[in-house]
Amino acid sequence: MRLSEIPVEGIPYDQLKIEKYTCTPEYAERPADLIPSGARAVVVNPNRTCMPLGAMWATMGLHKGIPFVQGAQGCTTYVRYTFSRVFKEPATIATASFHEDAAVFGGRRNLIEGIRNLVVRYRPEVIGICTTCSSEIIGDDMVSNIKAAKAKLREEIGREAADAVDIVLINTPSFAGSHVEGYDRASRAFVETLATRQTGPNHKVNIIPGLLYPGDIREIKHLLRHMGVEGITLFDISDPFDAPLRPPQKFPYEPPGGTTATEIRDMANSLATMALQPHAGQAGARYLERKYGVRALVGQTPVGVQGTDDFIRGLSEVAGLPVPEDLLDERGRLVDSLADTFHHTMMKKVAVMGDPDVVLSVTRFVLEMGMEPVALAGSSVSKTFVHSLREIFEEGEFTGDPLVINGGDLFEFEEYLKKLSRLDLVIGNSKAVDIAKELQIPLVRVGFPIYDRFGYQKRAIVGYRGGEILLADIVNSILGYQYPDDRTHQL
Amino acid sequence: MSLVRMKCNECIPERDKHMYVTGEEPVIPSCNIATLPGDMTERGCAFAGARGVIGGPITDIIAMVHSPVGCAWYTWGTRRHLSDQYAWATKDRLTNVAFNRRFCVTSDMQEKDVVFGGMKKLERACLEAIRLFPEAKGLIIFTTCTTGLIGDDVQAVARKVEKETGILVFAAQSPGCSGVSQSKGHHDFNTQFYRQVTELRERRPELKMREEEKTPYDVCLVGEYNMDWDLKVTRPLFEQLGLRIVSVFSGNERIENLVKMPDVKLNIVHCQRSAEYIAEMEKEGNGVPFIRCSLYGIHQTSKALREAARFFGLEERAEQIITGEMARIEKSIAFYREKLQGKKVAIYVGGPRVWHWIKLMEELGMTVVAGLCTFAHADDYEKINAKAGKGMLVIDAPNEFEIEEMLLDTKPDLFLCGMKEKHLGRKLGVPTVNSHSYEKGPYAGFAGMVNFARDLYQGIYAPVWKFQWGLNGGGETTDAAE
Amino acid sequence: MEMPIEVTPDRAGHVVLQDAACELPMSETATLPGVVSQRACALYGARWMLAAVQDVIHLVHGPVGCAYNAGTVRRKSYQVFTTCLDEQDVIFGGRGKLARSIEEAVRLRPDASGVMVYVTCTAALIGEYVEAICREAAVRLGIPVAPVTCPGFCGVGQGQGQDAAAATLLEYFVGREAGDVEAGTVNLLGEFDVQGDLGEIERLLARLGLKVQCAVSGRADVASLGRAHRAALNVVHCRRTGQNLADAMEREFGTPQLKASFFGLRETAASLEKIAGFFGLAAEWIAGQAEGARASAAPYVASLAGKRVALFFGASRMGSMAGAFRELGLEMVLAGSQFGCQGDYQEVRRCSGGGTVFIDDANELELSEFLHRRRPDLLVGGTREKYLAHKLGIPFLIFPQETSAFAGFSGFVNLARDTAALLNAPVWRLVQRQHAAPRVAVATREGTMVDSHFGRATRFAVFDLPGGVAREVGVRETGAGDFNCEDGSARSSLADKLALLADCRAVFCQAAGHCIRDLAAERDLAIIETDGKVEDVLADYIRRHPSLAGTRPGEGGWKK
Repeated sequence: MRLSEIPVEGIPYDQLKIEKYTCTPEYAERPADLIPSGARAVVVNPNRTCMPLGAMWATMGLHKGIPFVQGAQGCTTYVRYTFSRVFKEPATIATASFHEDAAVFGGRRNLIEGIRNLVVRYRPEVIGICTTCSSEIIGDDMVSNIKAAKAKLREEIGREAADAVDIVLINTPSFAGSHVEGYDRASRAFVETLATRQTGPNHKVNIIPGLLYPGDIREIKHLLRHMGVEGITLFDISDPFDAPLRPPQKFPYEPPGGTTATEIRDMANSLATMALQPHAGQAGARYLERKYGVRALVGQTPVGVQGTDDFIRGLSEVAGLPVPEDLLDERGRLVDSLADTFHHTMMKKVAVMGDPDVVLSVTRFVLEMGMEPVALAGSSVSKTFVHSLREIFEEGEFTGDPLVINGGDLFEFEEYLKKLSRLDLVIGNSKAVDIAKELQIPLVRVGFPIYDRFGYQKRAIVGYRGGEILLADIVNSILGYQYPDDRTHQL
Repeated sequence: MSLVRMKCNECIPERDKHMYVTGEEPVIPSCNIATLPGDMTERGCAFAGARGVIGGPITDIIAMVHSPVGCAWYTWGTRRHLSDQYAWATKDRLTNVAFNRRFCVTSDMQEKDVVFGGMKKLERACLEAIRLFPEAKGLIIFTTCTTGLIGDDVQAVARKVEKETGILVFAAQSPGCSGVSQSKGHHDFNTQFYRQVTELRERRPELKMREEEKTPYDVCLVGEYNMDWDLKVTRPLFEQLGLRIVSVFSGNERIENLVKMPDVKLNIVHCQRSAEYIAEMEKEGNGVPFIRCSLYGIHQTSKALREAARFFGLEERAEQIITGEMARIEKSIAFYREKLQGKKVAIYVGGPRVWHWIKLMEELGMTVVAGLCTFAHADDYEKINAKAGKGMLVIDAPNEFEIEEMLLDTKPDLFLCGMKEKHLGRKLGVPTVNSHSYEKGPYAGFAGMVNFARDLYQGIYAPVWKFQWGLNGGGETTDAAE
Repeated sequence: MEMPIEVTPDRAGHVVLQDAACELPMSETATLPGVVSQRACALYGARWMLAAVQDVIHLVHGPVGCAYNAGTVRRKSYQVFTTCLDEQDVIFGGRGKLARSIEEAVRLRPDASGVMVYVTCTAALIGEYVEAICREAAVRLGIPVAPVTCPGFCGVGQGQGQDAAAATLLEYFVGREAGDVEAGTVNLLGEFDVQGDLGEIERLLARLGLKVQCAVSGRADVASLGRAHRAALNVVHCRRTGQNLADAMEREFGTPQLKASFFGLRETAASLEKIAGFFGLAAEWIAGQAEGARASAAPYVASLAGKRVALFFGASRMGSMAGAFRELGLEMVLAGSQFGCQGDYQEVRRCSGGGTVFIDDANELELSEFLHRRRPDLLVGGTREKYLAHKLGIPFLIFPQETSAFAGFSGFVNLARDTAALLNAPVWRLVQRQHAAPRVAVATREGTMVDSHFGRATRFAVFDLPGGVAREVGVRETGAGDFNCEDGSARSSLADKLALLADCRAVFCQAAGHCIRDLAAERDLAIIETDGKVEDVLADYIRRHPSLAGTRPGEGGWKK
């Protein structure tokens, strides 16, 4: 018997022959009064998740850093699951395993024992303690609990070893804010707890990237390298969340890289702190400025020409260094790409969804391409989102009147898009996949989370080179969807 | 045989009683007890068990997650319990994903709701959701840590909303911090759902199956969640036998059929961890007998068909079906058996699939060297002990550390595990196959076994594993594992 | 006004600056070897003309490269067959191979109503008697098998291939079907239906009650070509590709002809009226349509006022498009073509103002020199010019167009819209923006008026424009005096002057010679010739560069 005669393929999906049934006989308009999210109590298809995820994300970017979640097991399991889906990497996060007793007697015992068990086994350098809705409702006195946990540690493993572990508390009640704010709070908590003024300046620039992917952080480092600036990246997930497969690994598995506690301590002595996402990381930058006089530069994420220009100018100014030719060449290549492609992008109608900083910076970039934003949905409520958008519109000489959703849900976004007479492209994360598919328009994936495709976490959309990648994605999506094949032999 | 100690547990002896190696004397480890704090546990919470595992697969209900946004966001469209009921996206197009996984509905509790109580908001949210989704035939309110702790009376809200709208409204109260694992959520859902259905049938007898509709061959498939369309393979087997599957608890099932569960003649229980509770209650309360079965692998699927057939006196037809199915797959299975012969596999699942799959692996010529369960109870370990050979390492509620040590010690050729563990396995160079939602399912029944075997084969034989040892083939680091 | 580019002696006569004397450039002469020519070959021209003929087999008798390249015409792909001549065939002759290829192609496409065999350099050089092979094949197969004698080396550019194609159409296809002249029918010669142009023209003719018999070759097949001679009138759209055919048909069949253009409102209206006049038809509606389109285009036209356009086409399109761009309010600074004839240049002259430069058979160096020095606001041309323009930061409009029909009244609105959108693309703002704080210099003696010629200026006032507000940062003085562009020694002192302004992105002066512009362009310094009050000049500059408003000195736009 030849191999080709054996049905080794099993039953492929197309052979399952799934008949689709409809819930209702025909399409019915959703009640118009319930479309705007502001008019509803119920949230349908939320555009954000809760705060602890952002704080865990931050802690995962530290060298030998382990988040410890003061809550039920789900608060940890779901986030580990999400990180694994997005980054395709293991995510080591400890839980206090709240059961009924914690609900009744408080989570003190869980924290003390939990820290002990975590430290004796894993010997982390930093533990980021993230609170949750349950611990905040129970009203755990976390400061005194952490003191007790440290005392217990000293007892068990000795003062020196115990003190080598930095324990940082990040208050992240899940019923307020969003994952973006969780990151922001973490940025402050870590520098507040760890950063200390030392003898002299270190001539470095602090970078707080925000919720950017490993590929983006690598690109930021590339820009720093070419500028000749030494940086401290706070929450450097580029290695921990994009680790090589090179067994044999150490036992236990320990993700490579990450920001060290020493580096965080040194952040008080830097030239400046650049926070690349005003909503995620600004708090840390501001704290360093107030407490240690380290200049805080907070700008839009360096996406596109002007976004990156601003970043590079800021960097050049704080470091007192000129912009080297090779970066100007990179810029020129991005501008050249824009010149080569704007016929396909101009006047195209685009909807953008995602975290506020992603929406802001991507909107700025699509305006550089001459696209017309028609709907912009920022994931979490922000005081500055609408104002920043207005500034971006002014700069881009854009006079349209897009729907702006500041923290609403995706249901509102989706229903709005379905009513538009024309829409060419959606830019957003995996939560927009169904919307785009149902509207039969292309989706360009950016931002968090992207779990339904491979590779987005490994590449950059920031910087001039990242801009070229994102631009190519956008242009190719439009070409693939709108152009008949006989029109694309020459572009 | 005996309990074992892993190196990583030298400093935490409490974990010792959770692990053993199978042998002559059957051991039941410490199980279904609280997780150690700070343990890198893989366990989820009770809410996950109720919302994700059992509530999620129901096709035509609104799953109202009464919580801050995260709990709802994380359970939105993640588990691959597929369904064939679709809403309309536009006038002429159906939604891209079936109704039960397309929308995420939550009361999005904010600080002020936590302070002043969330019942008002919940009630408004339910009424709005029912208006927004005329597709839905029912609504289930799931509570979470927040709403459990602040003590919202969701039962009262459920009754009120049902009265006002006429839509079936249920409450599933299993806050994340209750119980020790997702297993508590399964149990809660079973008992609460049974109780509410019983009350509902008394309140609204028209929802029961009418006498003239009943047939002598009515059955219910219990504990089958239609992972990656398992039902497409298993359901026809019973239907060919001549049985009528009135209801599946709860894979791809409509709420009206779930209300008719007490009207069947027999419950066939597949997942005996998450759903045997309701079968027991049906037996005691409504006199519906049940049989246990496994629908994985040739031997066990055949056995399940034969036992169901015996109950109804349809043995001959069962044999015909088995013969036909075997003829369809035997060449494929023979091919994969040859390739997989002698390979070692470690299985880490919630619980029951360890014992479901031991026989299946044997049928493919493979040996299970380790079986790990997240939330198994004593009866699961009894079943494991009954099916396992000697020398299999068993760990209850393992943590990340133990999983890693297990992989290094038992050196399996393949690791069947979930999403969180698979990347750890791969970093250690051990291929993995998704045992929760499958790689490319379905895996159940006869035909599904070919898919399963194919994915096992693809895992082990992927060319990537040849490259992992670096440029010079010997690994590049010296500070390696012992 | 001086010549913007350096003209080498062998190119003298091909480059002409339009003035009162108004000579036309020399044309239709062989290209200089060694220049980077924008011209193509006869095969290219023949394919340009014939590729769109629908139901014939297009067989390229030559090496594979010719067929590979001839597959794409006007940026569209067509099916081509080829004999794929190899070394063996060159040595022993490709006769048999061609005969077999024709037969096989017909077996592969039995629905084909004819075969066109394109003769390439190789086939012509080895001396194949292609006509005879085609004749034999035609007899055997019962369909026309027509050679197109277009070896690449013949003629000076693609024009000769177009002539050969016209000859083939006449000899083998036109007039095959018997019959009398049909009243109310026209042929469109030289119309290739780019992006729906043909449909627009057809709609207008239909309104006159006229039917298009055959459009060569935008909608041509063996049948419609066969009865083309029965049309009552030949309307020549593109002169280069249509005129020969019209002349020959007039000779052979007595079909009257009429030159028309459907680009631009005025031309379209005039052409329609001419055609209506020929047939004695009422055409009052035409003027109204033209006015309606003019109103629709008005907002776009307004935004284009005062912009300068450079045109570089193949041949006749130069003349027909010049009027359309004129109607858009653009000033034509360059009219050039690859292989235009005297008639084409005459036509373009009607639409040009003083100072337009004509360049015949412009090579790449001449084009880039022109763009560098004159920096037009728009270059119009084909793929080969596109990326050159982009690299210089000059907006580029491609022809044949890619977006929508440009012919007819509504086509004009499309052209206006596309051109306006193109010039407003945000990328052109980004090109200029550099990392330094925006800084400009003004040639002024007293500091109040722009009052000096760049070369003569000794004082420059320097301004920063952060956030769109002008702030004087100092005065720079130089010792350089008078100069002459022709005098090489002057250039070095100019270079010193430019070095003094190295940190500026623009300098305002009353006037500047071309050698200054040249050096400035190399340094990315914009020279802006103007006069008036310094503050007005700066305010105007800021208004026209809105991106300045977003900049802050040093801070780089980052909020503190």
